[in-house]
This record gives sequence, structure tokens and C-alpha cells, in this order.
Amino acid sequence: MFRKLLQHRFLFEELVKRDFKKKYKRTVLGMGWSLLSPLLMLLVMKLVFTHFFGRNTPHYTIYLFCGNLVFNYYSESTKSGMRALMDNAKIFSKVTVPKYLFLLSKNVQTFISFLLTLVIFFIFVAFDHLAFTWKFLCLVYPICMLILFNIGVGMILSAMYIFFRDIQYLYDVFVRLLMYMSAIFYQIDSYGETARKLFLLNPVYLFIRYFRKIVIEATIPSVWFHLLMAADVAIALGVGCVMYKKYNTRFLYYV
Amino acid sequence: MSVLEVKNVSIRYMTGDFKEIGLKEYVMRRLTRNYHVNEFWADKDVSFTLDEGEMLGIIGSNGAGKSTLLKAVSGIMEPTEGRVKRRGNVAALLELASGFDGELTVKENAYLRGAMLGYTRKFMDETYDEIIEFAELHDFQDRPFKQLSSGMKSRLAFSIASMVQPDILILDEVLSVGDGAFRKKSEAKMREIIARGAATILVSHSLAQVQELCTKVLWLEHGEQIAYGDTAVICGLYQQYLDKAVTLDQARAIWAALNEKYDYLIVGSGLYGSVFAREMADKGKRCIVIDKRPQLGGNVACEDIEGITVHKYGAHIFHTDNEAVWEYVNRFTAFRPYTHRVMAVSGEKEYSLPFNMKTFEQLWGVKTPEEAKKKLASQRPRLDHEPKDLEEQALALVGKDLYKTLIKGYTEKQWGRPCKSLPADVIKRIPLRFTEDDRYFEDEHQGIPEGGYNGLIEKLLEGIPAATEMSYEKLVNAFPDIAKKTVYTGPIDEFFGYELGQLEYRSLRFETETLEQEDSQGHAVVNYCEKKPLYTRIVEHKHLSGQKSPKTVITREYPREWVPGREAFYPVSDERNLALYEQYLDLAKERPDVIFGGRLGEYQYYDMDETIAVALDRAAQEL
Repeated sequence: MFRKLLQHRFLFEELVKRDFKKKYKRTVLGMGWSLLSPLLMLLVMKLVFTHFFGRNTPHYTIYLFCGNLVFNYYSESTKSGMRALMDNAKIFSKVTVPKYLFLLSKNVQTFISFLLTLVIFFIFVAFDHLAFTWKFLCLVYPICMLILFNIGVGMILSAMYIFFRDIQYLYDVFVRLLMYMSAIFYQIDSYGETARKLFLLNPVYLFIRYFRKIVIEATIPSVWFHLLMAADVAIALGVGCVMYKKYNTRFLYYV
Repeated sequence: MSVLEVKNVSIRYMTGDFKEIGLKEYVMRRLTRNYHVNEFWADKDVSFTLDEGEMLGIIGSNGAGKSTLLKAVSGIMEPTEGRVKRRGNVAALLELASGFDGELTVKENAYLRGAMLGYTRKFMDETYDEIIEFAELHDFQDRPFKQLSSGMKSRLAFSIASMVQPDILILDEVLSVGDGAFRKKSEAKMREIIARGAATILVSHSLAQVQELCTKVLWLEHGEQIAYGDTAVICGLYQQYLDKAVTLDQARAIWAALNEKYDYLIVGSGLYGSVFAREMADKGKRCIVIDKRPQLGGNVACEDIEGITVHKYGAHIFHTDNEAVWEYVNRFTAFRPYTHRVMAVSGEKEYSLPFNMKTFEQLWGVKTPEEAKKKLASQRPRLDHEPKDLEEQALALVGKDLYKTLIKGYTEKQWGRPCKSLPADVIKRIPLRFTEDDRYFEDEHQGIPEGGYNGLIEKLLEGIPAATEMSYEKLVNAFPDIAKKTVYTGPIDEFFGYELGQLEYRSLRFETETLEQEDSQGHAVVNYCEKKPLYTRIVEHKHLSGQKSPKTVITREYPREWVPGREAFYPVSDERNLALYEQYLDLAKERPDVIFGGRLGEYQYYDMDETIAVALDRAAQEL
């Protein structure tokens, strides 16, 4: 796959370029929106939820930011990934190109937005008088995992979207639901033991939790936590790859 | 070794499954028990191979499965059944103008497309200027793509795509891109690529283009392979199909028939060819008949106009004294009894033909044979030498009145030159009847087949494969070994490519017209014996067939010079031509596998009964 990727480097670059241009065409701020929109979201949440949840939560802004950072990346990446195949149907029904290129290109775009937001995030961290420890290096692990996880989910969604257009609405609802279940703006301490365990089944929560542990609590999660995350990623990516492999030549019939 | 091998490829589309109709519709249809998954085979069992430097044309109506097949060939689609084997890289130029992004600029699109086609950035950087130059879009480079006209879009697409040097090049309707000037440029470019040795597949709705460029052709229709092979033959068949001259099944049957082997290839489906074929087929020999005309039957072919059977190539009245021949033809068709009489018009007066007592009365007012004979004798000039031209010959036979009124003008029109410069032996004998018998033919059996001659020909050729609009040259080019022996009923000099010079023929031009009246001339045939009008006769077809109709169809017959390419009707049997024919016969001895037969093959005027008699004879000799 990597050799193929290398072989199609030029196409990949051009696709990424195209996706960027299309996303920000005729907007005044352009890339600025990638920064501004999560910040505005953060501001709104901060204003609304501080009253209810923020009082008992130390570093509530950062707490919120961790959740938003991860969740926005996940949601944008998978939502745009879902359309990646469909949007490029005209191309792959005429030229033989590896179809995952379209998905990867979208992911590159959302990843760059994510990185920009991450920089802002660190600035916020600094302002909040949280210490930058060597443990911050561990963040590389959840970030890499999140990239792969997003790609995997994107593959599954984009394949399903071709066969089953209703998925776009279902997924919208699902994402909203997931947001509320990912403990973005509240703490899960008030739930019982079993309920807290159930949260661990939500992969997005795992990523958020990882960030909070490192940044706010300055502790490294357990090995099991790492493995659980890896398992989630492996499943998503595995299913995605299998679907692409299986339906590679059948997508054409339904676009 | 073939670059591309497509073997038994079938491609199926599923329509109406739940992936296509969506969940709600799926549930609804399940509930109402209305859920069906339909299979649709875009291509069924298609096979072909392509070698280096070859160019395959794919033809067929819309929805024939051409584009789907190309997708399988280029690897975009996987065939449902069968396999595609490629050796080398494929460049597919399919539906060029689509697949661009309207929001991006021309330049960005160019790079993106280049990338899709597998070019490298370096290659694009190097050729970008050339591409823009070729597409003539220099001033549009930074415009959004959606502002371009569709012609410009196609031009850009073509320019980018044609920068490659693939092993297999697939062109789907791309040679008809842009305006006339650009089309020329793009065709030149394509030829350049092909000339460099690429194997090419061309899909085009322009038959002329396919015929000009392709070394072989695949004809698809409704996903099925109708024919695959020789360009000229298949394009001809396809054209006939488009003209609705043949149905799809007929076309398929003809192609299948052409691909078999025969004992006899019979060129020309006139009476000679048809009778010969019938005789051979009855003896268990395998025969195939071809004709270059759009219908079978040679000069006896009929067509239906306004419910009237029209003899397409002049009035044909069957008459014979040959019992065997009469019996033979009656095996195949019933005859309508018909006695042929011909009227002649000269100087606004009508005369009876052939010359009989009625004619003499109309001409001179004489009543008895004695008076007529006396008058004739007084008309004949005294000659102290053998007649040296046709005029002298005719005057010696019938005298000046008959000659001037009824022979001179007609004969000169017929031969296209004055009687004085025609040889005397063109007319050997002029019958003079001193009775009231005005029958044109004195033969015992006379008639016209019920419903015209087509029925006779059909019966004769029953169960024998026949292809129309198929010249001998075209056929042998495609199937050199189709038959052991050939029966050639076309002009013998044409067969040998006129290598000893041209034999002369007379040709005819027919001008058929439907008149909004019940009757135009009251006779089947009226001859016009003066210099003007230019036609020699008018045939009114309903009097031949006895059909009733409020309308009538007439045909004017204009004699004309024969030049190669025109229909040859009569051999000009003078000394020079007969000598030349003898030389051709010598040449024919070197081709014992070819039998020359019929009026043109034997360079001899035959009536229908004589034609049948010689065909029967020749067939008997063969057996």
C-alpha cells in the first residue's frame, strides 16, 4: 500500500490541494475558520456549561478544550470521509486509481485543521498555568491512533454511503448522540462503577480521556488503556480495509 | 502476441436491490411484496484480442454495452464473468469532458487530470505548456473551469490525455471533439500515437471513421456480440442494419454464414446464380450467394410501390418454348398468363409492334398482305454491295418508311450513336408478319410470376445463405477461403481487374414515378421511336401484374453509356469486344476454380429462359 501511495504521490498531492481549495474557496478568512470555529464552540460551551459543570472541575476550560479538540477532529474527519468516495465517483468511474486516496486526502485536510487547533490548545494550556512535562510526548500515541481510527471509520462510512445513502442522516444523529456520551463538558465521577466502565466502550471517550490525563492530571494511562485504544483502532481500520477490498470493483455500480 | 485478450466477458448490473433504492423503499416494497432485484447484462459473452499496432473499432447503437466493455478493458470495472488479460499499460480516454472540477482553474484541473492519468509532476511541469498550446486555451489558464465552453473542456481533456504513450489506448468518441479544425488536429495526434505502435480501441458513431482507421471491428448490440472481424464486411452489415434493410437476427445469421466454408460461392443472385445455387444445394452441395445490390434477384428484382409490383430493372416477361425450363420455373412459382404486346409511338401516332398487318395499315393504310408486300418492295433501295452499316442493313430489310418511323430514332437512342456508324450485324433479321398477329413473343409459354419475381428468387434460394450489398472484392478480402469454387455472374473483365482492357456494355437508367391516376398509357410497354423524348420506352407496371389501384406507377427507360461503376445491362457484341472476350476466356482458363456464367459472365445476351437453361446445363456439368 505504501509503495502504491508513493506511486500515486502526485495524484495524492493534487487531491489534497484540490480539497483545500474547495473547502475555503471564496471565504474571507480561509484557513482561519479552522481555528476560529473550534474556538467559538469552546466559548459557547464555556459560557453555557461553566455554571452547571465547571464549578467542581479544575481547569474547566482545558477540560472542555480537550473534549472539543478530539471530538471535532473525529466528527469532521469522519463526516467528510463519508462523502469522499461519492464526491469522486466521476473520477474513479473513469480512471483506475486506488480509491482510498480520496479518503486519505480528506483526512489530511482535517488533520491539518486539527494540528492548528492543537497549537492553540497548547497556548491555552500555557495560559492556564499547567506545566508542560515530558509526559506530553505521550500525546503522540493517541494522536496517531486517532488518525488511524478516523481513517478506519471513514472507510466504513464512505463504503456504506455508496450503497446506502440514508447513512448520512443516521450518522448525523449518531454523532450528536456520541457527543453527549463522550463526557465533553461533564465529569463521569457522579456515575456508578458500571456506568463508568461503559464509558470505556466509547473509543472517542478514550482519546479525550487520554488527553486529559496527560495535560490536566499529568499521569500516563495504564498499559491496558493503551491496548484498549489500539484494539478499537485495529477493529475500525480492519473492517474498513476489508470493505474496501471487497467492494473495490462494486462501488462503480451504485454511484 | 496479443497485447489484450478479452475472453467471454459478461458484465451484469443489478437494479432495484436495496442498495440502490434505499432503506425506506426497500421496506415498503418488501411489505407490499413488490421487491424484485433485476439483473441487467450490459455485456454478454464478448471476446476479442488485440495485437500490437492493431486498431479495433467497436460499433453499435446506444446502450449496446460499448462503454461498459471499455471500463472492463481498462480495469475500472471487473467483469462479472470471463476475463480480461492486459499486457502493458492502458490509457483510457472515456467521456472526456466529465470528471473535471468546475471550481478549480484550468491549470489546476490540468494538473489534477494529469495526476489521475498517472503522470508525474515532473512530466506535467514539462508538458503543461504544450498541453495548453494544443488545447488553444492560453488565455484561459487561470479561469475557473466551469466558465469554459463544453468544446474547450473536451479540448483540454484530449490534450492532456494525448500526451501519453500507452501500450493500449482506448478512445471513446474522443475523435469527434471540438470544432472541425481541432478535430483534424486531434485525429493527426491520434494517428501519431497509433503509429508509434499502440494497440488501439476506438468507439465511434462515425462509420466512415471506423472504416478508415480500424483494422478490425467488433459489433455489439444490446450487450451481445453480433460480429467480430473484417472491417468492411461488418461495417456494411451494420449500415444495412441501421438502414433497416436487415434485422439484427438476419445480420447475425449472415455473419455466421460468412464464417463457414462452402463448396460454391455464387456471386450475383440473378436467375443464373439462383438456379445454379438451387441445383447444387439440391445435390447436397453447400452454397452461399452474395449480391452487391441491396436486394436479391439481379435484374428480375421487383419492389412494391403503392401496392403495385414494379420491375426494378425494366419489364421482364417470361416467355419460352423450352418445355424443361417452363416446367422447372413452375416448380417454384405460379405464373399469371400474360400475352405481351408493345405499342410504338412515332410522330404522335401509335403503331403496333412487331411489324404486322396492323402496323402496315397504320403506316400506309394498306389492307391486304399483297398490298403491304408491294409497298415494302417499292421502299427497299437497290444495293449492289453488302450492307456496310446498320442503316443500309435496315433499309434493305424493311425499306425507308418503317426504318425512318420506327427503327432509326429508337436504335440511335438505344446505342447512343447514329445508325450510319453502327455495324450492320447489330440487326440480322427483322420479322415482318403478314398477319394480324401482334403478340410480341411467339413462344408457347408466356407469363409473369404471380406477385412478381421476388417469390421465384426466394423459392430458388430457400435455405441457402445470401448476403446483399456484398461485393465479391469485399467478401474475398475478408474470407479468401470461403468456398472451393466460385460462380461469377458479374462482368468477366471486372473480375480480372480489366487487365486486358474494358469490354463494352450498354447501360440503362430508370426513372420511376407514381401517378395519381388510374391509367396512364393503357399498355404495359410503349416504345418511343423518335430522337425525342430521350427515353426509349415507358413501362406501366399495373398492366404487367394485373393489379388494381387508383394510382399507377410508370418507369421511363433511358439508355446510356456504360462506364465502370454503372450497371452493365447489354453486352455490345461487336468484333472488337468478342475478340477481347475470347482473350478473357483464355485468362479464365488459369482460374479453373471460377465459373463465369450469365449475361455478363459469358458476355452474351440471354433471355430469362436461356439464362435458366444455361445455368441448369452448367450445374449438370459440375455434378
